[in-house]
Amino acid sequence: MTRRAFLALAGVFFVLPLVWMVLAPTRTADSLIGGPPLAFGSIANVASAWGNLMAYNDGELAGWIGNSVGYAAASVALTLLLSIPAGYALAKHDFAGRRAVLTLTLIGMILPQTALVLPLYLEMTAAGLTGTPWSVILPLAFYPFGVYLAYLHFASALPGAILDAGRVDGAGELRLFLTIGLPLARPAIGLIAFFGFVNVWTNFFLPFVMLDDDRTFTLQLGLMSLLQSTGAVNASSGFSSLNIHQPEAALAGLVACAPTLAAFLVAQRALRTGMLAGAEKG
Amino acid sequence: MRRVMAGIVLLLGLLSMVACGGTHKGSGELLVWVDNTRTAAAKQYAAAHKDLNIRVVTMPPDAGYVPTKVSLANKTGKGWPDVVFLTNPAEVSTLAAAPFDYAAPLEIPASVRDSFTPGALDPCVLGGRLYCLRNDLAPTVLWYDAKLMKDFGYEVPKTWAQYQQIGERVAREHPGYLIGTMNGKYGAGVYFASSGCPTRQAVSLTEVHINAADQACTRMADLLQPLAADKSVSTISPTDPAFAKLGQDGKILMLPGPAWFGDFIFKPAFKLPPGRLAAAPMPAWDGEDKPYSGQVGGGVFVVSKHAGERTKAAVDMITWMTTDVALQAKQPTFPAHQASAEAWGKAKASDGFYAADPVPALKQAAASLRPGFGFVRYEAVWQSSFNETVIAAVTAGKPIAGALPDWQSRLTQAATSAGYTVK
Amino acid sequence: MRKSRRDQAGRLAVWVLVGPYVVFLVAFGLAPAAFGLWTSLGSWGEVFGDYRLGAAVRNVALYLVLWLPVLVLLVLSLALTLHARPGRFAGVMRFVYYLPGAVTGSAAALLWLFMMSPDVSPFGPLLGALGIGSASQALQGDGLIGVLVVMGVAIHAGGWIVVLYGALTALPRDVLEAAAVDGATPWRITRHVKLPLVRRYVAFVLISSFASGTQVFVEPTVLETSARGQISPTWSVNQLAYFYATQEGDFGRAAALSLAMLAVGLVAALLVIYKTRFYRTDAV
Repeated sequence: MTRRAFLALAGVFFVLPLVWMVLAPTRTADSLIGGPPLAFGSIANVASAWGNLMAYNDGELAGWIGNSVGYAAASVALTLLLSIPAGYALAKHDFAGRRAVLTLTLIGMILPQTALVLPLYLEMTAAGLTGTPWSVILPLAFYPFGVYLAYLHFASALPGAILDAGRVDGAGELRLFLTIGLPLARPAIGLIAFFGFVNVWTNFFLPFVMLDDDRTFTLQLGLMSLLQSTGAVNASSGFSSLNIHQPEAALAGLVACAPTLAAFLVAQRALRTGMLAGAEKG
Repeated sequence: MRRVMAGIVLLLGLLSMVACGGTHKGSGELLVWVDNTRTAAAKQYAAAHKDLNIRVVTMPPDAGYVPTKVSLANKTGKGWPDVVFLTNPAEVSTLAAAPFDYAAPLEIPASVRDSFTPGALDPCVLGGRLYCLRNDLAPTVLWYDAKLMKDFGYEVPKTWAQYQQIGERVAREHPGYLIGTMNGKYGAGVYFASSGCPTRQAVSLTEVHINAADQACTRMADLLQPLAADKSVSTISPTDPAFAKLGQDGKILMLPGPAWFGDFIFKPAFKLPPGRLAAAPMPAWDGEDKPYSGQVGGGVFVVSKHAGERTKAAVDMITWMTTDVALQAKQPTFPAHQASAEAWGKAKASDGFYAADPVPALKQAAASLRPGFGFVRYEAVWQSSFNETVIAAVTAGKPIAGALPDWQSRLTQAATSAGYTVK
Repeated sequence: MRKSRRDQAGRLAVWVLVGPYVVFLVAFGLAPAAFGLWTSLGSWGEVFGDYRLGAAVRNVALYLVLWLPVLVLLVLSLALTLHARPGRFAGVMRFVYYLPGAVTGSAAALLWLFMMSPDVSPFGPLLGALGIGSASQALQGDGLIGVLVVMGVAIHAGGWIVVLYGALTALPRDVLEAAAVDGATPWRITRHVKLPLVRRYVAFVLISSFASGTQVFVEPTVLETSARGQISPTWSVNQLAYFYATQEGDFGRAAALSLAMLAVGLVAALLVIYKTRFYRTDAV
């Protein structure tokens, strides 16, 4: 019982901010200040808050959601294409440079990418890619944690004897990967896709540096622009005539975090499996 | 599983087609960066001048955003906007100086310059050259709740001495009510800048005058000392939810603050009922002929040094954006352009939210900006160091005057590391 | 002869598989790091002489001292308690712990501004008990560190709980069952069986968090957008590095400071890799 009480008490600490945020769009800005911290307003307020958000730059919000989905899909797809074969090769083959690749991957997992953003910008400019979606998609597709997950998966779930049997039958190494390795990769794909998606979706700094034009913004970047433009978070900025205040900001925040939470629920099963031997990147 | 992989490859192919439609700056294009509030006007201008090929981008009005982007563009030698709006006007000083070297000195006819409120363009002049045109002004006025003042039987203070007396009476007679607040830029800009305390007096792009020991600083410290002690002047930021709560509870008797507080703080955040808010000029100091205003905000337009042959078109555009009366009359905050301010004031005068027309007080405030409030590169530290020294002293119950040397040394350090010679 | 041709084909195949990733590793990992190093040459002295660095290092150190133990202890105790009786309730709670981490950016700025404002926060009574009257007050002086610690714990704990819980479920069932049969209490199993078995993961959580904690950037930046002018823009070391590049136009100093911080993280990373033998880099 005390065990449950402890878990529930901690749960209250973690859940209250979200409860507030879910309730906020149902209320008005002055009820958030004047009313009790947690109270339900009305569904109609949510609808009007959404309408107010869409009034910003002719519904630009929808475009940002589209951009974010596009960048995330492309980046996660690339991550999978890179990390599944790489993880397989690292787990099942011994080759010159293997140790170096693994060690660099592990270092990359632990070190935050933010430190590299400025040099990345210069690199992207040299390639003529800044301002294009590729400047966001490509650097984020380099996701060492994904490689590490794939590596762990193949190391534990694919016995070397199966591959040896295939080799005796005369199958080439690529063929072995396609016919034996790939079909076994399904659980790893789920995990890598989840962590990769969260990594791309919540990333702010890289698109902030790379993108200039509001039409190419990600949702996170666009929301910063929208919320700062309207004084919804800080009344001293923006001076917009738009009716965007705290309830709208909370609603926008929910829209931005919903995909992460949905991905978590979808990935629940994969997350529970024991193969999650690594860690999310900090 | 192969089908999954094939699907991924297909998806990437499709996305690459979409992504290649990315936006590159075409040659001969006039690239304009404005915040959301200015976007409609910029697009209107673009539509009326199709030959100029103007591209309008809505940027986040975050402090530091424009210097960040210019710094990156400098590093790669391309990508600068030709025209940019600064919601944080002090950034002009960063953009005009080395190593940024981005803001172009502007050739503006004297007739246009003179059409701005006297003193409005002063901070844009750095080292004798004009680097920006001011869109709006944020002079401070004394906002007050006319109903409460009447109920309590107080006169609107004309001098700082009277202001102090009312504060002490409020603390005795109506504890919990406020006659002001000082926090960050609202403390330094409203109180100390209006008093003429030299904390950011830019002499040129590389020289600044700072002297927190000046009598203009100590007199404000002495004035605020008892008010901070009896809590009639708060240290909570006006944008803090706790302050909004005080506002909604009707606890704000007076609040010296910038011109935009009426429409953007009292109206939406404090939900003050109509017919209660009024504006008066700031209190005056004994021995001075008139009241002076501090400043908190006010945007500016800047033109890029890299605009090349587009420079003239860029200057024309920012001239229109800042001086077109029809446009400026509709803008949310007090126009820097005089004729526009007149037109803007006419619309505001009939606003039923105010107990009395606030425009005369705003206009007087705009015409009485305290000189010496320059655009400096250490703006962020100017704000945060006020809290780290003066507010920290108030919180700890120590004398404000005693915190001034500490403020001085932090400002001096910041100014020096920002490339200024401090005098 | 036949065998060696086969070997050659095998080597080629391996590089077909791992090559694209290596290209990305070089392009987006090694190259920017090397480029940063090159940019930083000549700026190191200036950085270490900067008057703001001392304060930033002190802030980050104080933050780490408070945040790291709280985070690791909370993550560990919650993950172990959850695992003591897995089930529907545990599944729901895991999701709950993950919630605050999903809120990022400007929305997080609004959320946390309201959470620490006693009048409007569901934590109002708690804040009141701590003597906090307003967000302005909470952010004042070293109060800011307290706010950042709470934010940092709420944001980062969920992800690590998932990781540690995953590691716990991977423990061999027979070992745990044997212990239970021997009559060990759940506490003893947790303390003497599970904890030693996941020791390496705990070390990993600790050191990864240390590395990311030294780089703390997002939380103070987010708070600054909602409390403009109340927080120094160079509060943390990483913020200072960013400030160099974007507000002072000096990429050299920015790169030097970033690399110095990377080095601190790298030492931690290498500790994980070699000391805890967490990674079986030599197993095929």
